[in-house]
Amino acid sequence: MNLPILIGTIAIELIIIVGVGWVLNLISKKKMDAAEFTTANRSMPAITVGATQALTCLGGGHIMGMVGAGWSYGVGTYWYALSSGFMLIIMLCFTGPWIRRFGFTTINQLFAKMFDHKTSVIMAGIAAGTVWGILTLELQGVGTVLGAITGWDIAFGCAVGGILSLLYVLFGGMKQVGWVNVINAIFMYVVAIIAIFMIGSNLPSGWEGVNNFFVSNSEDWKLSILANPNTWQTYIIGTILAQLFYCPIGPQAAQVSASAKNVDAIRKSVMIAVPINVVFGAIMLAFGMAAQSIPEYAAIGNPPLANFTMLLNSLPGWLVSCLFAAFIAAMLSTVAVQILALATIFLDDIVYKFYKKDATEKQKVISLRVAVTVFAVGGTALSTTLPAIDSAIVWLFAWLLPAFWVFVFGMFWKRSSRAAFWTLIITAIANMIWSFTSLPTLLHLDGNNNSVGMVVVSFVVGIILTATDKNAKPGMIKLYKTNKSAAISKEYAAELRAQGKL
Amino acid sequence: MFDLLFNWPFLYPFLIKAVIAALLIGVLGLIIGKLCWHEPEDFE
Repeated sequence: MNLPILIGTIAIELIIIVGVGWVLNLISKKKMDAAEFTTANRSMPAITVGATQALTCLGGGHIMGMVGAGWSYGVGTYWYALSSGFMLIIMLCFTGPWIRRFGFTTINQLFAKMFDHKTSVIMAGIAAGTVWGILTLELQGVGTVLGAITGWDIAFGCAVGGILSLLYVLFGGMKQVGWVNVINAIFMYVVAIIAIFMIGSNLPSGWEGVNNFFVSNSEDWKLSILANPNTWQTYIIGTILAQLFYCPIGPQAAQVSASAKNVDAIRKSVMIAVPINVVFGAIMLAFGMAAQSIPEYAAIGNPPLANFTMLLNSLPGWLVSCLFAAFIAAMLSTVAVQILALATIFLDDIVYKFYKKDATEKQKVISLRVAVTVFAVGGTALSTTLPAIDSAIVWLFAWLLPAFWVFVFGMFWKRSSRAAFWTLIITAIANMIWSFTSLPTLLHLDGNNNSVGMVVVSFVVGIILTATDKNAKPGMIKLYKTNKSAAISKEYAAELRAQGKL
Repeated sequence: MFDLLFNWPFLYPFLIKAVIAALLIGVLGLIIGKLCWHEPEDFE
């Protein structure tokens, strides 16, 4: 066990998380309420919105998934990160500003307004399932990093990750998450840049040796961003579609946008979020492909583990501690917002809506902390039983794809409750058929391609059902332009009236 | 020209092209954001 590295890694993480929580507590003048916990009282500036959206969409997929996919698809894997950048444009220039403008906290609340409660409940179920899956995968990633340092069983590493993720969010809620993310983003880049330049001198034949490895194995296509046709068919197209249309409508993204100070803060945050999110993928891909080129690490067989082992053996201890703390921070930031989103969906969209409508502020804050703890513990328990991150994460993304089209049609065209409800149901059934039968093989769409099927099914079903619904209401943008107070959330309207702005 | 654009060998050509691509996407986002949300805030 590398005890000094383990202590260093966890100590760095704790200093950042606890330190930010402590400082925020010192400067905070008011007592924590539910709105402060879930949306930072809608006060987050562009810098925290950008860093949080970037790091929420940067986790196991970039750190573990891209390394794994890089072994099979080479530099073409960078399309995962590039599509993540395009996705952030959709999120920060379209879905996010509208969610903030309407004053909702979760996507389900918006769907209740746009369509009906039935659609909102179905959406809450799909969103909760997707978020739950992603947070367990991220915890698996944390467990793998800690396992590489210590030789621990991954399950034990997951448990430590679960405790750290709780600390990330438990005390300060969204505001704490935002500022921890800003510090983590700076920290991650400083150490990753030092590491990528240092590791070159420790590779047996430098970076030139990495290039020669692929050329001499007749895999020079792995050094091209265009990769080869098989990579496009089995990885790139499916990944791009899943990335583009899942995250912008994801509950975690909605909650961060809802926490922004205003629409302008979200719009400007795109120039912060995109580079932070995308370039880190390039650094991970370079590490992963370097590990693949060295027989000793390639023989490990598990790409992320091989990568971590190479870094452990090739870099000085202080840098490894910092680098692994950065990896863990990236995954924990995703876990933290996912847990917060899951707790908010469960309490706001289910418990307070149907069962405990008269909950006091104090009860809401306690319930949020209990829910955050329960979901962190549950996620930790399940995290080790899941499949490899690179295949599972894109599969999970596809579940929320229909919600994107439902949102687009409801915003720009017509709001059909029937179309929204049945598009979600039919696409979910199609996703099951795609996942558990040999249909993808029959269509020559094996690999990360359930997103291709889900985009087509949800788009076609959504268009047909919306076009044929004679009872459909006008689109949400039209409603907003004609009657603003009818389009925004009740709570936001009350808040604006109290401030004399409505 | 084709090689220059699409071949991304390690380390510097890869990193430089990766960073440029990310910055271009960010600038595209800024332009789209500016075009789509140029109106003043309704309630601010």
